[in-house]
Amino acid sequence: MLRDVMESAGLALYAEIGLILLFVTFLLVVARIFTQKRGYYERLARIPFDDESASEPVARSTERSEV
Amino acid sequence: MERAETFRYDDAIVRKFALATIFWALVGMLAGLWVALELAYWPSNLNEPMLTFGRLRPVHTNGVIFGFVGNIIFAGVYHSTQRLCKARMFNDVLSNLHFWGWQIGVLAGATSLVLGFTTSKEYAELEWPLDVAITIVWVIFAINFFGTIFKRRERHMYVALWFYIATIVTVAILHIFNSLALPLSFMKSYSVYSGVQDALVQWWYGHNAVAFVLTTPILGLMYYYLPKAANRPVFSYRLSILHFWTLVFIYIWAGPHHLHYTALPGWASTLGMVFSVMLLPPSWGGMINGLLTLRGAWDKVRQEPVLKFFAVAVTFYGMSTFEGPVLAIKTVNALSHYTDWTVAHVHAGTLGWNAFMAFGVLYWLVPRLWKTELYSKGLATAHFWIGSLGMVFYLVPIWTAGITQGMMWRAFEPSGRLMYPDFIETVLKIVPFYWVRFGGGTLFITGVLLLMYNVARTIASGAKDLSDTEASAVPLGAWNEELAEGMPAGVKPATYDHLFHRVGRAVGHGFHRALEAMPVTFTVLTVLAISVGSLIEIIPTVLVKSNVPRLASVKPYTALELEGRDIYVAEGCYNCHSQMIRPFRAETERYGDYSKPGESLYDHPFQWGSRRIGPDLAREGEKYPHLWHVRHMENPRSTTRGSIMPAYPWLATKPLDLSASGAKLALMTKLNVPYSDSEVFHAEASARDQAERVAREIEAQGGPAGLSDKQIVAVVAYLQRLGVDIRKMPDHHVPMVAKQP
Repeated sequence: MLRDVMESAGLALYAEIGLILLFVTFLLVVARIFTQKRGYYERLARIPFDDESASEPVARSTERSEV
Repeated sequence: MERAETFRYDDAIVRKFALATIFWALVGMLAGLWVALELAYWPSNLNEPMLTFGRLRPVHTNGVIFGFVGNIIFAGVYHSTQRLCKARMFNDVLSNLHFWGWQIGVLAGATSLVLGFTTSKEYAELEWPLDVAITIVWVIFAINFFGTIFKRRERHMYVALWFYIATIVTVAILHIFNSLALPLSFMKSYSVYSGVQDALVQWWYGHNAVAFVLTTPILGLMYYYLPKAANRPVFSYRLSILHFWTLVFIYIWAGPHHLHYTALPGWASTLGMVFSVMLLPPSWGGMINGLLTLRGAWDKVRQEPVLKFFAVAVTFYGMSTFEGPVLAIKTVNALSHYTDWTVAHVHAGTLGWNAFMAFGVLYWLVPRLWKTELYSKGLATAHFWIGSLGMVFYLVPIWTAGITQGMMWRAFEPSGRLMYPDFIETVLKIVPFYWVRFGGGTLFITGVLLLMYNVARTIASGAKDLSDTEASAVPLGAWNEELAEGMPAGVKPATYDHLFHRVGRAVGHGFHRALEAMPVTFTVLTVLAISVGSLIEIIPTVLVKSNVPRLASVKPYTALELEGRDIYVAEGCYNCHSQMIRPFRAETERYGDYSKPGESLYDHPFQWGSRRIGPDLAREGEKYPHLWHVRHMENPRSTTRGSIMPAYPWLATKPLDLSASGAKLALMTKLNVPYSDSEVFHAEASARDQAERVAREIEAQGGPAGLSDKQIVAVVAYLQRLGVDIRKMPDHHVPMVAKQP
């Protein structure tokens, strides 16, 4: 019964709309990631170092001079 | 602004999970080494039902996936989540329930598998009571984890936490939907899905178990422990966010690549292939992000074994995620499927990526958890080199074996006949490779033994006082106040208006920042992202009739055949024998007409298999006389010279229990298998009749007498039924969409 309903309902369009929505959402996420300020992310990347054994990680600027 | 609060991290629970990791590493890998030996040297099956390859292989896979990798994930999650959230775990009792529940679950699982209780769905073999128990433990873990997230003192959720969240919600969904089954008795159930549908759901689960147990949580560990060990922030945080969302959006679609050229509808298979290939760029983005985090720290990699393990692990992540999409391409898969190439691919991922990440995390964590130094860096470095060498001796022969056997299966003489018509020729060719693989596995386990010794000595030298580490941080309330600033007058707290304005302000600060600050919204979006692919692939196959055409001549199994099928499942025959002939000339020449979707319609669960250590059995029925099967089970070498199959002499002596036959048929009718009331009512009697008949025929063919009440007659009846129904079609080459009964 359920199968007959599903068969005749012609739901293929919904799958396509779902796929397109998924893709558009993904593009929005990507767009957002790349429009965020750089400094903001650099701060977030240091979260793991702010714990009980607070060791200051090597900063990017000194890193370059090392090489 | 509120004042900083002081609190303590729960490190005792992390120590427990770390030790459990090492215990299950040894158990799971020893089981693996044993099954590897069984393939190289069949007498090591020891003529013991509990130790045959078919029963032991799931012990290996479940032991290493859920015991070893599961526990290192929990150790890492419990350790890093507390620090990333600046909060103790939500509830210590839940932590311990989670720990003991999981260990008992894995132990009970391994025990039930050697005893022959299995659903036969790969990596989901455990029977329904254990499935229920696992679900409860997982919910406990989820409550504990999200509870910690909600009481966190760090506004932003670091990217590792996102990977953990995706893992927790997706594994829950996968486990529940793949394990849906109707129980027959305490330790026996039948999957609600059958044939094509079951195959699709199973490999949607199977592939995403790789994605959300062996990949995303380990990436979470990578994004936390690699920067910690290198003492450098991750190369690009932006790339890590992109990595996360791309995996979450794409991974879930890739499952059908396990079913190329099978009876699965072509559109689903193509969808799986395309999304698998799309997985390559984000995976490599993640690998590059990991490796470039070591930029400027390569001198440390020379001295620090932890970084050595991480560097090789991330490299293997890259290699496996390159090989995976390649194997998912249909034309490559035509060669690789059913061969050891898949086994090599999986082990590149599990040994190289999972195990090496786990070892790195253990060497980093253990000294910190026991507040001491690692006993010996030299031993850890030796472990690294022995493990790496072990992988070379594992992977190279198994890749070679896979490609060799795949080429032999499809080789034709110039005259157009199969070059190797006897399947056993293709097996004997690769047995030497199995020996080398056994050597490689031995090396890898030797490395684990070094780790155990090193950890034991480290713990022995550990601090006497293992009290929890203290930390302090400002609670999140401060941030909420900040957000509430500028709230229009008249908007009361805890109303939709209030929430709306808060979200609005958060969005003003940046959409994604708002997302990160709102774990519920974030989790819901993750679930939506993984659901779209799941629904689009599964709904049509399960609910649209024309995707699985019914064949008029394909009838349900008889009561006796169903009993034989249950024995086939319990002995784990599916671990070595497929029941799915692909539409290639090399396969139809060898096995007979290719398998149609309608042929496995009554198979709850499906038995298509994934590896041909022995030949396909989809058209085994009526190929040989009954006696051949009796002799073959008693001693496979008597019918097939050089066979590596374990002997099953007990099938001819163990009594056949038909007392549940009626209940089995009755349960099958609930799953839409068309048995009549009379068939259900007379199930036991008709099974006995057929057993007598088969036993008489065996005797008439010169075989032993008195087998009618032994398990072997049920197995023979089942095997003789495989793939024969379709021959009863008037002309089975015309379109086979038949009317519903």
